[in-house]
Amino acid sequence: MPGPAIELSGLSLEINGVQILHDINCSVQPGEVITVIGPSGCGKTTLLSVVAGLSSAWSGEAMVDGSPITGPGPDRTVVFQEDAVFPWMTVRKNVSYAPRLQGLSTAETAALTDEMIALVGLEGKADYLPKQLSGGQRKRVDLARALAARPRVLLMDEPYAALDQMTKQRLQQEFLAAVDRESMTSLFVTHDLEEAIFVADRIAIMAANPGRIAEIIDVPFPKPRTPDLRMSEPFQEIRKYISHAIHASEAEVA
Amino acid sequence: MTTLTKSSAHTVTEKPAGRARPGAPSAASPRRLARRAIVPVALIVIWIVVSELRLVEAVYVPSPQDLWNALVGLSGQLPAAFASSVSMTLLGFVIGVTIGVGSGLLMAYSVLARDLLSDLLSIIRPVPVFALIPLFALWFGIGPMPQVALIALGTSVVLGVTTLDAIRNVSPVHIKAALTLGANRGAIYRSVIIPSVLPHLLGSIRVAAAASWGLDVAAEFLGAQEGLGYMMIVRQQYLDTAGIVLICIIYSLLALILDFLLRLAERPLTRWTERSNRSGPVAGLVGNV
Repeated sequence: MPGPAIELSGLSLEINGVQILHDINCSVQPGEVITVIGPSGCGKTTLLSVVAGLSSAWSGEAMVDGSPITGPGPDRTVVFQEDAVFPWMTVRKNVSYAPRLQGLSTAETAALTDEMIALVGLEGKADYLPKQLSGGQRKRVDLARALAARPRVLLMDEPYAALDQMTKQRLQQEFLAAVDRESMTSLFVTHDLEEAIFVADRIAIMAANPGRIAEIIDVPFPKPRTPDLRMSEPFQEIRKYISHAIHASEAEVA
Repeated sequence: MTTLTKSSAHTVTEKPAGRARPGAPSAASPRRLARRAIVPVALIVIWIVVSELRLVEAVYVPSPQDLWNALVGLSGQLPAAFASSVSMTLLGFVIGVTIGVGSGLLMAYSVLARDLLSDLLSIIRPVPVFALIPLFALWFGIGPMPQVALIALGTSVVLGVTTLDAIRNVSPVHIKAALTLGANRGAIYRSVIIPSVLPHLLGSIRVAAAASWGLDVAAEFLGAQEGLGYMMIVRQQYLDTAGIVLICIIYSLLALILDFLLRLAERPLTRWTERSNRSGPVAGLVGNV
């Protein structure tokens, strides 16, 4: 039995004397999707940036595959909320960015790039520039680019927050299919309750001041999941539960 | 990936951005072209009428015929003056661009270079370059040297400052994305920073190119012995207004040609930034040229 893909223990982070994260303990098993949800300001994005290696000054332990995190690296690629697709590169150049850096041969790079572009359904758009794509399509490029690095863990930082509801639901579905196909492990930060449940195997509910994990709950629905799941009774039950948990933690502070 | 599209039951299609339909009459429509010609044509007609009827003395406003005569009269000296001014200006411009962009990029890459140069740049930046002409004449003597030095200085300071500003404005999320995708410092510099700043840089190179003609004229006024600017001063002593106007026109054409060539050169490099044509109410407000 292999160890956890991500292991956080006693993780704390303080900026200018303000405690942002307090004693975070969480482990993500290989192939698992854990979503992190909580009120705004609970430090969920900060938590993700610690794992991404984009944050310093934290204390405690943060390991990926048993090795401590010391900085950013292609074993932990990120899909950001902002549009992070390089606008000066075509879709193909964007997706092949990490393989090219990793020194893969031209043939390997081309094969991997085509595979990832197909995985997100952008065949035929490979030579487009990002300005020719819609917001949802650019997010797909982002996902393909992050997956093409062959990461150990895929980090999702409220990736679909800026999209409309229809596009968002469609991309969540595609995310699940892609992650499933690639047996990818993922830590997925969101403030959208429905998204948090729909894509997750487990949900970490955070509370604010200081940011901490209040509770981790299981999502029992089998995969693949269909859009109808969102309307089902058990789904709505979990939704209510999380909603109450978040409100309760907010009330506690106030 | 057919399995993906099949598994997504939602069939909402997304509209790709871009390619706006033509809404407002385009800037090239015959009616708009005619309307745009009104002011320039009117000015030319007024000029011809005023000068041909001698409503104003030729020493103030020379007629088209005067200009032609000036061109014929100066045709002996013009080629040499032209060659001198163009070569000096281009030399100064190329040196200025090289130093300006080079130091800007160096400052972006190395903290040491930034510490050494950025304060110097902020001190030199507000100094009016034209004020240095007498000093340059003193240092570099009479002749082409002060001319080239002035143009090089004027353009390099502007470009150094813009390069540095542009680098500071590189989107942090692009740098973060590159970092997490495994790029090191050198790779980020090449694949993110340089392409991000290129459009700003090329834009200010064009501004600097336009400014360098002005710098050339000013430098020649004060201490040249040949060139178009020097020729203007001589024509002024002869009260040869037609000659002066003629040289002004030559300078304008030179600036236009250089700008056109630079635009041609920058196009393939900045294609990714071009916006699709504005249309409809947006075009009505800000134009679609």
